[in-house]
Amino acid sequence: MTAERSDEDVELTLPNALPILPVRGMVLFPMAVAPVLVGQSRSIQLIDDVMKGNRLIAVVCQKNPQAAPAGPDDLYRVGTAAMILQLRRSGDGTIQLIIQGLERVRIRDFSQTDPYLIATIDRAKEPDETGIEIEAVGRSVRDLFRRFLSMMPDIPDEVGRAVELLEDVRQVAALVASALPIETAVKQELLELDSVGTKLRRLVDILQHEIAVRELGKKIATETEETMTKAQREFYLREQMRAIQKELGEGEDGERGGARELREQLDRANLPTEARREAERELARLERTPAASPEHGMIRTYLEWMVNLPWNRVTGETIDGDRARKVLDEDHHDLEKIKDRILEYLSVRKLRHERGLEKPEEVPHEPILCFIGPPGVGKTSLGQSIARAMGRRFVRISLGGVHDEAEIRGHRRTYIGAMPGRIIQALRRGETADPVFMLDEVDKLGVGIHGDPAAALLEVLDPAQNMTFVDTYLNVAFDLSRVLFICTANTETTIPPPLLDRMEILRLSGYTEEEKLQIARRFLLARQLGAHGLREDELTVNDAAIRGVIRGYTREAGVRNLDRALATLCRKVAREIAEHRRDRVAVEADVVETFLGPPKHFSETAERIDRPGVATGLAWTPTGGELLFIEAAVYPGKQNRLILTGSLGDVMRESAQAALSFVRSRAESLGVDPTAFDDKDVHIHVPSGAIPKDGPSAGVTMTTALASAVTGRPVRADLAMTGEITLRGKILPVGGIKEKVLAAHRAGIHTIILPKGNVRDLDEIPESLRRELEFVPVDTMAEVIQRALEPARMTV
Amino acid sequence: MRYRRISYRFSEVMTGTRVRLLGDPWAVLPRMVIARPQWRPAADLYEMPDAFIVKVELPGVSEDQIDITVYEDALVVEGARHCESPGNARYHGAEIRYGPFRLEVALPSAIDRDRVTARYEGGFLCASLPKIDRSRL
Repeated sequence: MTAERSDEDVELTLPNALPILPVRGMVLFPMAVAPVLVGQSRSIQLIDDVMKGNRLIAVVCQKNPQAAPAGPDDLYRVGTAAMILQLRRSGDGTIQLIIQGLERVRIRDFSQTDPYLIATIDRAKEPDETGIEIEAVGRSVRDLFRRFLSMMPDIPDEVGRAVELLEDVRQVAALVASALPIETAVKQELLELDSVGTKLRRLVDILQHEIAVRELGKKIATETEETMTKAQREFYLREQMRAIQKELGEGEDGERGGARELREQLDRANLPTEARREAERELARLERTPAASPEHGMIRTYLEWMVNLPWNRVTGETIDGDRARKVLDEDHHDLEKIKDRILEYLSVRKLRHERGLEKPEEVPHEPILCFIGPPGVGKTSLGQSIARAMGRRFVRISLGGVHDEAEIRGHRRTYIGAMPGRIIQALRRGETADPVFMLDEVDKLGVGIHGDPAAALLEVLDPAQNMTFVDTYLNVAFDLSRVLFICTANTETTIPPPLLDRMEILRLSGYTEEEKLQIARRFLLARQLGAHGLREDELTVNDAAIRGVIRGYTREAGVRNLDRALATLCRKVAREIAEHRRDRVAVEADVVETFLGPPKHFSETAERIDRPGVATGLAWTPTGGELLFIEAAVYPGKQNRLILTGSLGDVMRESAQAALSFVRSRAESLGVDPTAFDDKDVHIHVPSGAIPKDGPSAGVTMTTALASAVTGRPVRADLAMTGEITLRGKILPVGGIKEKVLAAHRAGIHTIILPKGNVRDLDEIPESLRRELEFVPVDTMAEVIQRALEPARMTV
Repeated sequence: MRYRRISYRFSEVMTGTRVRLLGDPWAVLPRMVIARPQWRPAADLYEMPDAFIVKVELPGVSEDQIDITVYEDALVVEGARHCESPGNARYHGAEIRYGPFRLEVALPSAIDRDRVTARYEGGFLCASLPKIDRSRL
């Protein structure tokens, strides 16, 4: 196959002189076949002459495209010898030619210029070069050309295939050079380059440039197209939407109308300056935002909150002390201390109001009232009464389980579904800026990962700050200083101390049986009658029956269960009357059981203490007082252990240790054998075992139980005690006396031993109760032992 | 006619060498065609029971201007056609190719190169390429 190569290259015979065909805007490369249009008369004559002979011409590009006819100086000196393959003469005399480039020629000089140019030529065939470098640059020209073609849809694919198939790099160079849409001068320059290697390298440069330009151009085109189509799409969709809105009757007019309506509401809402400015800003944004955007809804919701808040709407009437007293008495039985405090509070406000001293910065911090007491004692209804007494609205939020700061202060408007905090929500509900605002269950505030709600509450409750309370949702200050805040809680132990610090505690400790009777008679029964559609004369309940209900069916500090039991009673009676079995019912003590079933609670104390080693203590719980039975046992054991059971807390355990140490150290004076504890284990148990207990106030009881156990003298069954002891046998005062006394009374205790230091607390206990109970104030343990233990039994 | 017999196989050195002028050559611009300067005459190749026949359309070529090269598996015909037209002629159309030509014909099977004969008659060149009789080998 190599043998063939040689004779391919030769065989062309070219004459020394060739007629020159000047062309414009094209460069004919060797091997290239190209169409040429001939219009000039002298060129036509040239073709006519050549066609009769060997049909060979030299095609030379014009340096100066404007020159017509082109003289020798207007031409490049390098051209291509070509053969005319086809000829077609058209009607207007011009000639269409298809010529084939044969070989590169260099013009030596022109031998004839008229009628057409003839020149003597030198053959200038490019030498065939081979080698790794040529191969490499040839390959990159091929690759680049293929990439270039992929960007040029108007060049047929077969050109690319042809380039792949060409083996001779000279042909590759010729094809690529003629195919490239580059300037004629550049093409001529390529033709004139002698070495194939140089030609190819130049082509690499040109191709890279062309590719880069085209890629950039394509990118720009795509981008422009993208923005165009996006804009067009949006426009189209908007137009459609407008059409739909028009059909639905909520077109642009409706949108503007909505904004106008909001503006009118804003004018009426009487906003403070700052809030007004913020609202105006949002309103302007609303008008700019298309109704379909989610932003629109958010802004609208915000503005609706703004207009609906009671910025300056107040209902507070002049406070009339007598009327307030009347209202409080109407709603609540007794609670004298609380009512007094409330009336004082109202009087102060009234005075301040009358004397124009209402600027908070001039007043020392006004305490927030906090009602603490067991459930069902009327804390919430007291709040309602205060609102009624002051002629204000009453709003209430429960803080039980609130563990997120945002619940108090609101969410930022950036969040979807953001809402103002509960404070602002409640104010909108209340529709006034000065309601009585009850914060229920402050002791049950939680602390979560989203900040501490108690800290947010501080700002709300502090009169020095709350005139500029900023809810994060509203983002403008709202004046809370006109609100009367009242908190409620079951216990103060879990209220965060800074919060507690700002409060004035008012305790509601539960009711005695007598009070409950009064409450039932005056409030509960009447309410339940109404609720069950009964007339007053249709159901009468006498005092004995109510007492029966209180004793047999409820055991509580408040009156919630009593209310429920009375409701059951009313329900049963209502049924009897509705079924026409009876016209009226009078409930006596002995028929309570037929309505309510067997009693649920008994007075159980007498039965509980029938042996030595048991003593009755008194405990305080958030839901009222409780009786506590403390059991002690002493039995042979090697290790002298003290066993404490019944879920006792640390303080109570230490208290038990102290009790044991006291009893052992004073054995003789207690009439106990000093060796009684030798080789003995001591066990103290406090039922009910599952309920955690703590505190020092069972010290006296534990000592008594121990003393009873070692002496074998039982403790008096109708006697209960409370108090802390020291190792010296001193008895120290404890808290919760009123609740404890009430609980003891409920349980049927007659005698209560209590520290001398607590005697002043007995003032709180209703007179009737004080008459029924015997109080034994004690100072030392010896007095307790003397009073509590029965005389020693005769043992056989 | 001159014969050359070559004992190695012919392989196409250059493909796509034909000038293809399909449809209107003026229609698409720019046209990029690369071709060897030689033109290719039209040819038929057919098989007889004992030989392959290559028939080439070559009018106006003098017999002594035709070179035939026979390879083991190919036939190459080369030569030139000279244009002779009267001195006062004026062309209105020209499609006949003149100048050097070259034809390469690949053969389906090996031939007996020694018994190749060719006739030039009525403008056609007929080359007869006898098959190798394998039974005689």
